[in-house]
Amino acid sequence: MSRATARAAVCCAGAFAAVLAAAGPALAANPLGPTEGAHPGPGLGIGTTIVLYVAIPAVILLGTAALVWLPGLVRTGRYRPNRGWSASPVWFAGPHDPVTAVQDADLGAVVRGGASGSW
Amino acid sequence: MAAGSSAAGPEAGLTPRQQERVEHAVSTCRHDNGLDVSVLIGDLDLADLTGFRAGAERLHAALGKVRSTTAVLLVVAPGQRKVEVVTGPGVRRRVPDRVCALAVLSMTTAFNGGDLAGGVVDALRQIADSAGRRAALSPVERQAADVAIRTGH
Repeated sequence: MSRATARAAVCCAGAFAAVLAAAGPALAANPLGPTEGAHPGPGLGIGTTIVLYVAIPAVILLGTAALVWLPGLVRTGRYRPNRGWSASPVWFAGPHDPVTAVQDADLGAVVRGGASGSW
Repeated sequence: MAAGSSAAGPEAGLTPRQQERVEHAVSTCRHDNGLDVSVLIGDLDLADLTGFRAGAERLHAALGKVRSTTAVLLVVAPGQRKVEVVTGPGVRRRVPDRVCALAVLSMTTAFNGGDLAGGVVDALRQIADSAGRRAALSPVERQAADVAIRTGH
């Protein structure tokens, strides 16, 4: 074992001992027992425990999930990139007769600018 | 030519609300910025997608001799997942290619998240901001089209 490793091991052991020493009083059982006024009441039954710790959190969880998912299910017309597109093209501020206009289009010797992209 | 791949009902495309948003954005560009913008949303009838740019330029030319000099055309093909911005030579100083690239980036990000109308509206806003404010288009220019035209069969 190298000296650096041995030193690291000693440091770790020291740190662990320090933590144990600090937490010692808290970890030790109270020798006097429960203090006055801290007597526990009757324990919870199985049914109450299940309702408290399973049923109620489950209802809250499902309610939150429903609030997140339902608007998306109800909303229609949302574009899904991987589901294609079957609608007819719509041209905003286009020529009045697009079919004829495209057929008769003359590209000419014009240099057009712009940009392209895909997703 | 732009054409729907099937005879789908209007409900399959943009909702009336989305259509209204795009129409409003186009109208704002035309009236507040004096910028002749046009937006086509739909797949192009192409055998090979490498010809998408050429198809978009043809659509730009279809706007007419006068408009194709100064118009900015956005072609969004949701099924083909491609977008193209075409600017005429007379408007390239107002809307440089750099701005078009930013608008395209903004659109592709929104489209990936499923927000078709939002992406188009944001892109139009970016283009309009770059172009600055000018007098509204003349009535003749405005007459070109203030309504959405459904081109499918």
